[in-house]
Amino acid sequence: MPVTAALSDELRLAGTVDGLRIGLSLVLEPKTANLALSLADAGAEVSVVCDAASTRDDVAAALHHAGIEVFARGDADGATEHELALAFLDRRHDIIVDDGSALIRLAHAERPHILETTIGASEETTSGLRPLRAMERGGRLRIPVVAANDARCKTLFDNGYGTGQSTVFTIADLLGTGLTGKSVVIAGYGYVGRGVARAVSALGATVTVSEVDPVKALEALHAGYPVAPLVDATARADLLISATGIAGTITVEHLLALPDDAAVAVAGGVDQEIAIDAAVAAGAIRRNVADRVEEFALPNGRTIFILDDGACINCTAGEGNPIEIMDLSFGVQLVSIELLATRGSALAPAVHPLPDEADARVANAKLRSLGVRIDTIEPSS
Amino acid sequence: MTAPSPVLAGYVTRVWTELVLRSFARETNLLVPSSRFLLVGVGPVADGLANALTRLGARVEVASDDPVELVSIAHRSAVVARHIVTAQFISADVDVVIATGRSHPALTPDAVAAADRPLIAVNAAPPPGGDAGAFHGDGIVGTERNLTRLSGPRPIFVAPQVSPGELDHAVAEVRSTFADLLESVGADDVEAELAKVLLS
Repeated sequence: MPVTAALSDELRLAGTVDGLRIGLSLVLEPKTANLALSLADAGAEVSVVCDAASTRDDVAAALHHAGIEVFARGDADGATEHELALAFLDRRHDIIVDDGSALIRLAHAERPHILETTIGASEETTSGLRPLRAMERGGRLRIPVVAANDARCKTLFDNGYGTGQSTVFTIADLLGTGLTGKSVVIAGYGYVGRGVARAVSALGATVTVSEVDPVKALEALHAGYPVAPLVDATARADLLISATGIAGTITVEHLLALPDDAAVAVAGGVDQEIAIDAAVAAGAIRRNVADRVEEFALPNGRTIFILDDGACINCTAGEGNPIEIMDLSFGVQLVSIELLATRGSALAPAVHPLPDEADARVANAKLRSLGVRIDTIEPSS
Repeated sequence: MTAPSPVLAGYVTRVWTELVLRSFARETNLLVPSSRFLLVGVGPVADGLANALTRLGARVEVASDDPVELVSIAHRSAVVARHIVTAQFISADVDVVIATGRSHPALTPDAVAAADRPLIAVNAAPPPGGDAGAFHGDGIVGTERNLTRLSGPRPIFVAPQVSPGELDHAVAEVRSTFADLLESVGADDVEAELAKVLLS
């Protein structure tokens, strides 16, 4: 992880995070452990928290052994997860690095007093920033939040390439078949949707895009993909992938429109992005048929398959994003932490973009590691 | 992977290339876009891999000892092609070498230029005859994940080969359809009928 190593070394040499309490909410696997260890090496007091589904206990044990406070257990039920999250917040971190903004929102809801001493937070997902911006508009956001997700070095590569590859390859592995010749419908043509479309198409499937944003729909057309309303497109789908990060994207109506034996999965995403609870309430009967594959007998007599309970499939069923992508995203997290550590006290309680120069530092660190040189523009005299 | 039907063989080859790429990603957790791949060899598997890799965003070169086939794949897939004329044909800037087992010399440490960064070696030679794309090293110096590390002029990690069973599972339905069609419509019409099924 050359970017993480270079930028965390800069933090260590400058003493930027020395003694700061930094809390990380991340998928707990070997790559993310590197970020925690790098920050600890740079002098921070680091804690990590993670839900059960995304926790690898061997990684949690290794981090604990390395002196990092771990608030995660692979066997935790919902109540235990909640207790662990509150215990994590009670560490009263100076900086919270969040993934989905669940911890930032939990702090506002159940531990508002800790926000008095929190310098700020960073958030690395599109779906996590959405409620934070709503809180800002409503005057309810009490700390500055750096929109790490919106940094170009995050969105362009993590959302646009990493999630596309890891999602599509994981789906194909779970289904155990080739995507060659299959008809795949992608709901949402944001960065994740584009990456998913690219990977699906590369593996030989045909792609149809459904969008509610006319500009993005037009963009999909110009990339060569047919665009259609979701309920129409699903009628011909072998595979339906939701890439919106919005709950209820795939409704019962969409599920009922799918042909027999179609599969449905979520890229990135949020809880109930596929309206599974509503489908069950409408009479669908579910049963496990393979590892992380459930068959749903629908009330209209058709049978479909939903992968991994509609969870963020590349994280829960796969190994997460490729290591090079995580390295770039960690670089963004590190410069976000640096921004909060050096200038956070002066930032208003709002969602703030990462400055362009911070983004450029991450990209330059990556290019240097690859031995790639680029031109520079000399300022005119 | 011999099949009596060109349509079936084309489908099986395409699925094989997909399985090779998925296996590479699963076993290494490395990124395809932006990585430098050297495809060694020509033929349908090289075609399928070149097509998929370039569409994914990889930087792809193809190398072979068959210049005629090489120029053909270079033009079809718009990739850089290199005629193998020296023993050392895997340059230091290659991240991943994928051998198709057809029209290329054996892969050994002698073929690898010295470098500090690791090289991932993938055997994409389809069954039967899957050994043709194997990387032959002098000694195993360790394992990382499921990758076998070999001694050589740079760290060389060999990925496990996709099993014939995985391919059989992935194409079972289409093979079964072909068998049913052969029985119902006969040998003269089976190609067109299978093609219609795959198009539907």
